[in-house]
Amino acid sequence: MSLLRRIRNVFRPRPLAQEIDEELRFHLDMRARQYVAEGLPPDEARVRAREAFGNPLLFRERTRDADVWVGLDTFLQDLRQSFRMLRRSPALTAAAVVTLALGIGANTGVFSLVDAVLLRPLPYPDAERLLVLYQQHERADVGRTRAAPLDFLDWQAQSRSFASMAAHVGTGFTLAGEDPELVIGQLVSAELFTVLGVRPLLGRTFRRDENEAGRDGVMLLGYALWQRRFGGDPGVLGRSVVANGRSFTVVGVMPPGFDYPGKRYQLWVPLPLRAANDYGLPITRQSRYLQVVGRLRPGVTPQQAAADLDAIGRRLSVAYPDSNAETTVRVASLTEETVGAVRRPMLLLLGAAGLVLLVACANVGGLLLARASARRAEMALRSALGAAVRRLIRRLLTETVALFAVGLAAGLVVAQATLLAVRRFGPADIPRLDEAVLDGRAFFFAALVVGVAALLFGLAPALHAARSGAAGAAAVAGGRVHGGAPSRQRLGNAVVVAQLGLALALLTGAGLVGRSLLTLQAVDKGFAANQVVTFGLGLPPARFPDAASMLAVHRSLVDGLAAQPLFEAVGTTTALPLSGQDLENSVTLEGDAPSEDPPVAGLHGVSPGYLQAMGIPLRQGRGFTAQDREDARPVAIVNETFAHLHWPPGDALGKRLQTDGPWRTVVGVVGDVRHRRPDVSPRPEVLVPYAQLDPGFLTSWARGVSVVVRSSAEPSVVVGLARSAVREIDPTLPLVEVRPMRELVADATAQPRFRALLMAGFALIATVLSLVGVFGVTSHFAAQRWPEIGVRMALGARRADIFALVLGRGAWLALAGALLGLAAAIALSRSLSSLLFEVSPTDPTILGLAAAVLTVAALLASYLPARRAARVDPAVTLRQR
Amino acid sequence: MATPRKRASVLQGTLDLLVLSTLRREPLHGFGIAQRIQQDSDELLRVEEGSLYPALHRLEQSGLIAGDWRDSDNGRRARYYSLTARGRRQLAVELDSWQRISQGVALVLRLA
Repeated sequence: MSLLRRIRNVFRPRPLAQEIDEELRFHLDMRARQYVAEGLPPDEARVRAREAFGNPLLFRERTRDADVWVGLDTFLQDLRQSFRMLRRSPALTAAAVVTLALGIGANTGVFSLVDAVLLRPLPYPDAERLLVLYQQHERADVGRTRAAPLDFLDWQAQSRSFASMAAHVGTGFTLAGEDPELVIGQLVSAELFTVLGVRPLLGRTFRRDENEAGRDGVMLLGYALWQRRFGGDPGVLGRSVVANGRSFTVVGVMPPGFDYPGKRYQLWVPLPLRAANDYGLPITRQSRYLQVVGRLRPGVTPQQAAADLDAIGRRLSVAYPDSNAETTVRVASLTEETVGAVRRPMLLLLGAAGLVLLVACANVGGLLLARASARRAEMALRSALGAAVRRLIRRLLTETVALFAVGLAAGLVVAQATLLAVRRFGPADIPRLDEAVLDGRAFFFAALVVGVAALLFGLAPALHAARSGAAGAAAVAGGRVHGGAPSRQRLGNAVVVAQLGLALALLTGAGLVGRSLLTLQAVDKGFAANQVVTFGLGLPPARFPDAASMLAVHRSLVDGLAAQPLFEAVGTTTALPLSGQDLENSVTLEGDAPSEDPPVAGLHGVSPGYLQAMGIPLRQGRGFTAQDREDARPVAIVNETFAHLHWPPGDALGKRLQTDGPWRTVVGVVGDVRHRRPDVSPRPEVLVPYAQLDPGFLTSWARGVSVVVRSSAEPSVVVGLARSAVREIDPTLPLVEVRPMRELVADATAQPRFRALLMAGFALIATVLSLVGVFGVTSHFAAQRWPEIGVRMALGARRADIFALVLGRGAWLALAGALLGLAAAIALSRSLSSLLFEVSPTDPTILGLAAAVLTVAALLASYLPARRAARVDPAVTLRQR
Repeated sequence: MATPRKRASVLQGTLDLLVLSTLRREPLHGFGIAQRIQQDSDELLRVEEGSLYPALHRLEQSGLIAGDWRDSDNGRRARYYSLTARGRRQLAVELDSWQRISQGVALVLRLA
């Protein structure tokens, strides 16, 4: 409490001083009055009073010291003086603050991103106890799959490691009303909300018995959907909502932010697993479409759970060899599943930002060092006047702190701007990126970074100046104090070489990431995305209960759209490339012995116009036509990879295969498409006419189709025409996910582009900062040698020689920095290799180019000091000497 | 309080004790305290009067005495100090130890 008062006293210096003054004056006056009463004349009385009292100024100070916290008081005094000093050299201050702002801003911004994406636990209680369960096939081309319903029920019943376990699968819901709308929802087992530990905002979640067919007509709304479609009305509970032609009762609303298992999902509905369901989802061990998540029982480790499930998987593969042979059950942490893929790139960015900060701090350290040298005279004087070395160091450190504090404030502004830009323009597929905010954690991080940096880069110059100041105290007497000890020059050179090295490492990294991006963007994706607009249509079971009704509406949709004169080609597919939609199935080839593990290929149902609309080239044979109807001879088209894999070159046409039902004759071979990701090589694919898909398959897996329209008209015009064409055929069908195909392609490379952009920014900052460093050091080098230069010129050296002398210093720095940077780049290359696409992390062109750019830039930075040195007038410098 | 106080010079410690005991009877301003100490010590204690004020403020900061502005006898505003409850306890402790020390010193002197 006393300390508190003494801290407060620091901040009210004036009234306090006045009070003390008044108190002391009262004493002096009283004493003087007493002497007057004893008979002394007033003047003498006052003098006597003063004598008895002692030095009033001294006692005023001591009294004040008793009232305030001296340490804080001194600090504030120093701080005030520091700001005065900073204001007095605005150029240096501005340079240092901008430098710091960039370094701190980059780091704080990236930290906020990393914090939001990687460090913060998922928004579920004890999120680290949540595991994802999946099936793993021993064969590499099958690999990891989701779970089949019957298998999931066995896992749930037999596992002892989980407190609760739930399955879920996404599906589209067409909400009926004046404005029909297709939203993506999840079919879930009732336990899901227990597993996640999430409570609804309103109402309740599902009861166990609602997983039984017949009782599953209940629905949970996501917060956004509730706000948007129901106006946030709490009375929505108990209301009936028609979705996919079926009536659901709303039993609850989920809190804002709940979007498990991803941003797209807006409602949740129970998934009946024990009997046939309304969604046409087969309850078997063959169809593996369920995502499974479980919460570990208290005290059970993930390793124990893995062993437990492994044993269950073995039992199942023995009990059901037809479906479960060669399969095991695996677990992975939900957190890792969510953010694992972006960990490396995010850490790379954090590392790059750290290097930028090092370069920035080195610059500021250099500036402080330079100023410390310039102030050796001042320090020497203070030292001579009796200031303790500790006091001087403290003074200088306070100045550094003041500088870094301003830098911190400016850095936070930079960080906030960066974050806004990233949230706005960053890739949508980095989970939780939009949650990044500049909060207390980020501020703490920034303050920590600044504190450490200030100590590291402020202490050395302060020590240097204070020591040399103390040592130079004697020199002051002689009136000769010169700046620039050799030790400072060596330190300065080392700092600049390190800066250049770091900048080169960043430049190389940016070059590699950039080249990788260009390669990725140039890679042939197998289709022509320009002038293509796509949108999705869902054919809900309530309205189109069987294959015949689905095919009828599909045919009239295709015909109606194709009739638009502005549309050059129209097609549909069950899985659009780069959209995340995909389906794989096993394929049996005619003539092959029936095998336990047939090959697997992508399986897509497409309409006749699809190849043309998407711009997929036909290599051999023919495309599908309107004659390839459900009652015609079953046909298929394979891609080149499939043909190469299974048949001799040119031999594909006429071969027969079986994948979704009947035996099909191959009538065509098409070019490969990079279906899943632009950086993954094409895999074997089989295309089947949509109309010829097996009816069971059609009604369960092919209710959502993507329409592809090729047209030279504006996308907005295309969408308008398509919308009215669809409305004419069936007004209850909404168009969803309307997007130009180019956008899908751009999104598929959004993450590498984001990385390349940030890396380029960091490299640019680091390069510019290190060039400032080169400029500073060569300028100093030249300034130190002015007398020497004068002598040399007097002795006949040409200006070109002087120019070369200074430029040579720059070249020497650049060379040393380049060598160091190349070594650093090669050492760091391994951490980069997994992020590069068809570019070697030690690509000689990039390394060479980066080194050349940096060297030339460093020479340019030393050009100005060199020119100034060459213009030195020998007469002037010699006279100064 | 049993916490060890900052090591103070004998003079300062003595001055603190004198101030505290002077304030035992009634609140006084700084000048009054100085007067009282000089009278009571038969003018034996001759220190610079100004050194009283840092001591007063220090004692105030450590909560042993409390100061407030009041009108003095002659109408001028003066800062009066009074003993706090804590100051009273501290005084008792210090008087006790002072007595023991002075008894000890007296004993030594007698034996010498």
